[in-house]
Amino acid sequence: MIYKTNEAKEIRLFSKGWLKDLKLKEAAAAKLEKLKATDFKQKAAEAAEKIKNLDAKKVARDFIYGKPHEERRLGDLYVPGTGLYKHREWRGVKDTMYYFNMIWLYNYAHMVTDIMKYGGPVTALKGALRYRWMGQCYLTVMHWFDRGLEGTRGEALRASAWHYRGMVNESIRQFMRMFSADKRLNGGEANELWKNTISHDETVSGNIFYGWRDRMDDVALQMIPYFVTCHVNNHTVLNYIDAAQSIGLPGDPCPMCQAEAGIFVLNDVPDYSPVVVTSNEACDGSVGTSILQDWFLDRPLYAMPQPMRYDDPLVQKHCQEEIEGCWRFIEEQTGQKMNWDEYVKHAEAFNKLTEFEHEKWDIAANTDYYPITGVAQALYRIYYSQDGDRDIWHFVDKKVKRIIEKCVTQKINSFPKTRHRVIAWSCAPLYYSHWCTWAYNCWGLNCIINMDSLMFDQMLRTDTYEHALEDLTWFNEKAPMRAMAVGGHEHIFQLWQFMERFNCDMVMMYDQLACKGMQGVHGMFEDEFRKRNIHAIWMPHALPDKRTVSRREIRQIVNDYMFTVMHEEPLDPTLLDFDDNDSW
Amino acid sequence: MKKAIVKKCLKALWFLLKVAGFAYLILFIVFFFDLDGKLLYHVVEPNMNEHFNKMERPDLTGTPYGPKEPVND
Repeated sequence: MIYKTNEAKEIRLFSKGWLKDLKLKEAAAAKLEKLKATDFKQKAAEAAEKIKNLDAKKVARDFIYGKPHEERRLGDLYVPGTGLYKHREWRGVKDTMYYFNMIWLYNYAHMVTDIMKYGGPVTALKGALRYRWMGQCYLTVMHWFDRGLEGTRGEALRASAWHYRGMVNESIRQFMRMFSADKRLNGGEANELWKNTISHDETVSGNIFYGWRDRMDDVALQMIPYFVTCHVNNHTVLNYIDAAQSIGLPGDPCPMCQAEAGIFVLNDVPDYSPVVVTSNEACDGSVGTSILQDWFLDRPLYAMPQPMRYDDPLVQKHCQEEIEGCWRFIEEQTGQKMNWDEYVKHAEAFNKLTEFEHEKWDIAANTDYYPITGVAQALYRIYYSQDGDRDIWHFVDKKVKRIIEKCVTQKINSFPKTRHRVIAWSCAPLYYSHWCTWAYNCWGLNCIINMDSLMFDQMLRTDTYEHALEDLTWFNEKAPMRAMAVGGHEHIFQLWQFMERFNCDMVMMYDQLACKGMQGVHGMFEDEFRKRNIHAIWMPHALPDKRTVSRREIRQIVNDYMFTVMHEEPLDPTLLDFDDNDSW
Repeated sequence: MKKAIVKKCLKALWFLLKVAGFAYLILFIVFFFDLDGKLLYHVVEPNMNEHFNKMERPDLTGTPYGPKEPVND
């Protein structure tokens, strides 16, 4: 058995010299030394003085309602290096008990019921022991909640947590479908679920497959084994990046594409479908991934590329034919006809999600009463719009709608310490998607909206087949990154319009160091920021790879800007610098 | 007789309440001191890692790359 210390040293327990390795003696000696050096009389006097000066009313108030923002000292809660908490935050009686009962207990319990509902504990256990991304990563999911909800109170805590619950439920549903259909976990047999599952690249929208959802299911190849893992536990993905390079591929392309290829190199994608649909989304790096997927999966594949200049009217017909080609491919390969009524049912249901998203944007843009953290907004939006219509999104939206209505009618400002309204632009660091909660807690930087939330902004008409196909094509063309980052410079420069629309006064400009496309427009953005007198902080990162720019370095860059350019002081100085290098 | 049964039921209920209360308290301690995180970080994750590092994996670069057969054939 291995024990990992706070310094990230792994010690094999019960092997030769393991007690020595644990350095228990040294630790005990150091403690003893400290005790010897302590002047207990003085300590007692200090404590007595402290108690004497204690404001009992304030202590009671802090206990019942939680400490005011500036007195929280959230940075003191961390165990250095690990990102673990000495203890979880005390948010006042009501919010702490809400967190404990309705987030921590509720989600642990529902994870169990979800597993029971979608295939059972045996299937889940088999998957956990077979696939690293499952066994190493998803067990740590409650810490994902903790990081995303740090410092939140009241309605912000509740609304944001529901977003996480939706993502957890859908992730469990997807990996359980993968495991239940997986040939490897089912004695090499192609069962009925295997025959009735369509696998596709995560950048191919789930909307494409609505016509089969009454009999079949569609599960993205990388959403669960790669994308969500980076947010939950960023240790896992490093294995896949290294695996891609281990077969001789260069190390400088986008690490997202490398990781997506690496899961195939390590044979860590379940064999759950007879067919695969790929795409060139988001960029030419993804084309490379698709080539590797085609090679390693070795099964019928349909490539459904999207044009780079997608709003050229001349390419629309071509894109529509690509989607119809994909539908024909599925029909031919599986023998299952597309069900138009089923498509209409899901497209109309999905429109309801889009309508609510527009309401959310409207409230975020024009009021101070939007109760959702930047990270919950971003991840939930990218997840559900990519995945398509599912029951859980409607369930979550219903809960969140009630909370938002309460905030608006009662004028509840969930982020009262906001100093700057921030728009986050370009592609985000997946290992630090929760930078927004840190930035608000430390500096009062409130991330109102981000670029990826604004993609897929397309209602789907269903009155005629032609209209449906036309809108579905537009929807698919407005996919992640393509909608703005690599869809032509006029789209990436829509930043100025969105800044105005969402009433933002600052930009968190993501600087994906391995993205050749975005590096190409770096200088143009610099010029525009200067010309328009906009405060923009460049946040360097390498998408899933925390080794290139660590979270700590990212925080230092923001700190430097806030001190030297903005001349502001932190709300919580304990959050300025702390070691979380080996955290999840 | 009836009274005795009611008394027994109430006693059993009280016992169950005490067990549930104790379990709730233990869970709150686990939650508040992040004991779930500590167990996962210090023990579960490194051991799962060890398991996955030892796992034998086929060399997929040997997969032939050529035309595909339709699945319905």
